[in-house]
Amino acid sequence: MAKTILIVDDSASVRQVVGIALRGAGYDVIEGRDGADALTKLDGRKVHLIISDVNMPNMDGITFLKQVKAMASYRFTPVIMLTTESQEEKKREGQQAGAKAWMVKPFQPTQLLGAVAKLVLP
Amino acid sequence: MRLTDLASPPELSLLLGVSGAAAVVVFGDASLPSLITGSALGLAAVAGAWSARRGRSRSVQAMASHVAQLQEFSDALAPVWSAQIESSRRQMEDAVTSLAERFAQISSRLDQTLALSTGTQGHGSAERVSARSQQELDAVVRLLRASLESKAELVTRVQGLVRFLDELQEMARAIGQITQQTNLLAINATIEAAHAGQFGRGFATVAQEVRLLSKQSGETGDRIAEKISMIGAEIAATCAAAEASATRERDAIGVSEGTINAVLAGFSEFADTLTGTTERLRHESEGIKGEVNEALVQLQFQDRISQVMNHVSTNIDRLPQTMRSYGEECVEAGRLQPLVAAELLAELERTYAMAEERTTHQQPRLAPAAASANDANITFF
Repeated sequence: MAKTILIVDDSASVRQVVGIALRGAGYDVIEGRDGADALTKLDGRKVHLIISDVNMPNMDGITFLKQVKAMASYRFTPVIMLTTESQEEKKREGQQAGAKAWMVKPFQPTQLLGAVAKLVLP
Repeated sequence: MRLTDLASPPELSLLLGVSGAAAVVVFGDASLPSLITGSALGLAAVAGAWSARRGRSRSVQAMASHVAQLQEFSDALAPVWSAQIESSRRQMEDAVTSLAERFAQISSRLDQTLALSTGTQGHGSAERVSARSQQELDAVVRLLRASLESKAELVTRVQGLVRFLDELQEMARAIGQITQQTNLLAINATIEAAHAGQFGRGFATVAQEVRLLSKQSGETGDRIAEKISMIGAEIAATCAAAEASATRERDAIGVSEGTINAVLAGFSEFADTLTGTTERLRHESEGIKGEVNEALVQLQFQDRISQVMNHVSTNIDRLPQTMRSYGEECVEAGRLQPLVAAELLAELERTYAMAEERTTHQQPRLAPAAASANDANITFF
């Protein structure tokens, strides 16, 4: 059975690019337009990995990450932050909030798939 | 502390005039001329102060008007700049999203085409169909050959009957000889019966009947021999016909086999060509898919540019408020203040997310190279 990955990004084109790469590799994909929208998608369904942007309207990626880690069903779900943000301070913030990896955009799909394969839950 | 720090020019001239008038009154001789001089000095001082205050008021009004114009300038310009940037950002986002969707569809359809061309979803490749056809037709040819061999065995068995016909002919000849000897014996008996006279009459009758029987046996033996000859001829004709049929069938099988092999060779060649073409199509499709995926990667520029435009637009939105604060500072100070960009620039810098934004900010005249997907780095925690 295909594993499910949640993509959270306010840019529709980034969601498309990430979605194509993941679907091409056999993953099921669900999408959220920002942190708040993504939280509504975490309705108890099994999610094997989350890929989230950092700078988003309504709810930014770090706040979203903290809320995910506070949810019993998803506290162990690995999260990759996929962002244009490259400052070390922000990275540390993400690490402290519970992110498993920090990837700077733009990215190559092969790089992303490598990180996903490494972190996705069995 | 300087005197000019204590009072502005109108107040200073008033102070000097009044001081002069007081000095004339106090240190003069209180005569009419000194009183007139003192009064004149005082009046001149008051007039000078009034004139200077009027000048300063005009200057303040001009400054306030200038600051108001600056505010109007920024109020009018900033929203238009910001709206144009936001409009462009949205148009670009819509267009790029639409492009990404189309590229995604192309990529997906290429996947389906590749799957079809490699036979993973069909009934197998032409190469496999060719090999399977070869096997099935080979089996048909083997069956025909087995049938031919079976018929040849039947002919051999029929030809084996000829040996029994020879034996039957021999037996028919033996019957003929026995018949001749029986007839001879009957003749002898008849002669002997004639020698016996009256007493041999009955015996002569018997001998006559034996002769008749012998004759009938001889005729039957001849018919048997004749039938055996006919059967032999029929068997020979049947074998010859079977042999001719077998030859024709062997020839037909040979021709069929040759035709089958020729058809299969043609089909195999076609399959090879088709396989080669399919392989080239698959290769080309993979190449196109790679290009499409690379185009999709390049579309990530929209996200980056959108962020930069958003940061600049937000900063432009802050310009009217900055100008209002500046005007208030000028009014409070009573004169024009230096207009400093540092605060707005600092606000803009705080919104940056990308390294090239910071580089551009620090060295605006040097356009930094756009980040490449190959530069992407990943940190695992």
